[in-house]
Amino acid sequence: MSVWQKVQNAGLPLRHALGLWLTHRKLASAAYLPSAQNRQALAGTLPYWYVIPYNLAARQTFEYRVVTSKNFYLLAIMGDSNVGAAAGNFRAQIFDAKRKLRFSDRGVNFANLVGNAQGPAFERALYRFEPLSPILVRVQNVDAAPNSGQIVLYGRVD
Amino acid sequence: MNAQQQVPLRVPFDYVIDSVVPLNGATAPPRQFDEDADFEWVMTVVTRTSPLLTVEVIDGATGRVLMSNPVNIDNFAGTAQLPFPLVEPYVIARSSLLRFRFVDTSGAPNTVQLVLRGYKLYPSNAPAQGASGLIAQD
Repeated sequence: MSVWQKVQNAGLPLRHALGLWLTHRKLASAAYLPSAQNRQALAGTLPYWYVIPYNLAARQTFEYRVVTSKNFYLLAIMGDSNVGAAAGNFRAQIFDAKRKLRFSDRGVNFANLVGNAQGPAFERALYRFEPLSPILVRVQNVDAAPNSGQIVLYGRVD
Repeated sequence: MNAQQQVPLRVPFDYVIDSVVPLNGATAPPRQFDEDADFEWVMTVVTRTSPLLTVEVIDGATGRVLMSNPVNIDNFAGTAQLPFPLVEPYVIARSSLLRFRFVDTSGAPNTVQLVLRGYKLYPSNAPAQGASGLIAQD
């Protein structure tokens, strides 16, 4: 793609398609990213990162609540752990407390839930947290060693 | 598309934030954006000595912080090979100021270079003129 060419994406005037480009996947990466129709809601929004820090002793469970101030459109989940995502034997579960919805029926292993900035776990469709929605995250460390790090919910706010 | 709407000329541009964070210390280098054009922020990449580093982005005009807590650097920015795409590019008005607050927890000096990768937006019919007004709007 030449940066000198006009972007042809229907419905997305004046926005560069590279915002969707994942270098290690196909240019459009349609299977991994929100559709053009979904992204219409993002025009004029501000990037925002909700961060859930945790510091868990062995076999400890922890709940963290953060309240959205405005509409928050969840785009990707990232995270890290001091023992490494692959080796870390711990799980997390995310809730939208305002709508009383949960995003999984039980804790999801860290390696199955999060990526990092180099390879984020994108949401295929946007999920909107309403203003003043408590986002509840429950982190379970089922390992016999302490674990600390953070889970990051990347998205956009109005 | 509105016939009156100008189509911007996109010129690749990297805004670079260099900082040497003292051991277990903090720095908050400001980044003033050039006044010749608005900037379309598309990707974020970083190099750092240690990943034990957090970052906070603060809008200098409003004092608004773009994150609820400091973000670990590897959750905020990728690499040139695997950059972090914003999914929806974010346009920063020319002459804006962003402040990046880095905090090191590695116990050693941390040399960091954070790069906001994107495009300067010039009016396509008069690129030498600069952005006389916001040219990228929905």
